[in-house]
Amino acid sequence: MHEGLEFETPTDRGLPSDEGALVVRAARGDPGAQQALWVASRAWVAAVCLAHMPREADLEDLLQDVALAFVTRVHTVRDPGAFRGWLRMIAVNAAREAGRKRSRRRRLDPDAGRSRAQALPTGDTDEPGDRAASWDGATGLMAKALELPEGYREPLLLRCVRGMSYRQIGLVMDLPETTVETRIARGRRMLRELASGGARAASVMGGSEGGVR
Amino acid sequence: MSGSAMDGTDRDVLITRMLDGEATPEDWTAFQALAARDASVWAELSSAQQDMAEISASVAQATAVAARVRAPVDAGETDDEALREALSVRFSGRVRATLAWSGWAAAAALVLAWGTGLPIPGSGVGGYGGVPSGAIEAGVVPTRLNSAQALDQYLDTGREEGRVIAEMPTKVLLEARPNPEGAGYEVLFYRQILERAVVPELRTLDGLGRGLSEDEPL
Repeated sequence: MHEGLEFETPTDRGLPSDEGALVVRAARGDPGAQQALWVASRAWVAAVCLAHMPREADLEDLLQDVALAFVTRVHTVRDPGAFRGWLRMIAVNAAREAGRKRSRRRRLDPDAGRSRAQALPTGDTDEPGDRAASWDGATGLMAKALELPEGYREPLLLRCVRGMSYRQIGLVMDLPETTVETRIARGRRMLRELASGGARAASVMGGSEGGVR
Repeated sequence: MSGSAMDGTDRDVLITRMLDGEATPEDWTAFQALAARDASVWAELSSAQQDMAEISASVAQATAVAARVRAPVDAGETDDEALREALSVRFSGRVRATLAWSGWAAAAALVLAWGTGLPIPGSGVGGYGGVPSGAIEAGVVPTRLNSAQALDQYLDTGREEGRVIAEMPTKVLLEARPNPEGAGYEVLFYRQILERAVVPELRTLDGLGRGLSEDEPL
């Protein structure tokens, strides 16, 4: 039997120990620190965008917008501990703005975008099935995952990014670990129900949006 | 989490913890108790695992474009020499994870090869019982190494060759559960070996170890 083994737990993985110092330096305007911070964050930022952006939006364009906003506004971050939540809000707002732009375009030109996919409602609301094609090209279970209410969809997608721990997801979403865990568990259950074509998932989802905790 | 009275949500949370490697020893006990009463929980666990594998692959594919997006700053302008140096060799988490895994996999493959006598291309290791090729011909009596000795030898030789830099001091715990064969706990973990290699080009890998088309900017 092995004795005296030291372990790093999965919860510790991927948390850059120097992130706090990088945030401080990035806020002071150090471009090297800004780049390092962005590189360390962009994968989960992409998942946040994916969870909130409307169909037809271009993820790379969206990330460019977020990267620019990050660089121009990072000087406003005072608390390094709040950095992830701050960056997430930039990503969420950018994704929603892309949705609003698209809605405006559609009002002006009702035929806009129809050639790319089946015309589906915008991602600004969260009725079941509303986001079935939120990411062009999503098929199978991924398309189903994008149908989940955003309170469940986002932590589930974040969990897929390099196996982010509940704690890391909680830091990004400003939620307790237990809430993250519950949402992921329920999201998976809904997904399974959706995949099996169950009506139960639709009823659960329809009644869950206001009850996400 | 108690295994005796478990509602649907508790059951889902328990499966989620198992799946995500966040289960405690108590969770494992609860899961085993649950599985003893209702074997269908294994099928649920398996389905959930397949679902996550599929979604993770889709997310990795969809978000791979992130590797192309740089913050619009000039990293060369930093006045911190140490940071500039760190940036110059900074790999993305995926690449770093892949390199760490590659080291671990190489060690595992070596130990496996030692045990099975399979040859390892380019390593000069092969033949019977993990004895370096040529040793038998040279009349050296084969000495069977246990796995720890074999790993130590791999590390030592790797250091001499400049391939192995160091073994990381901590192991990563994946699972811990009561020892099914008696006292204590059974732990599943992996070691991390830092290695260096010179390669002609770099390509990023997604979470499933598949090559992606875009080069990861360094």
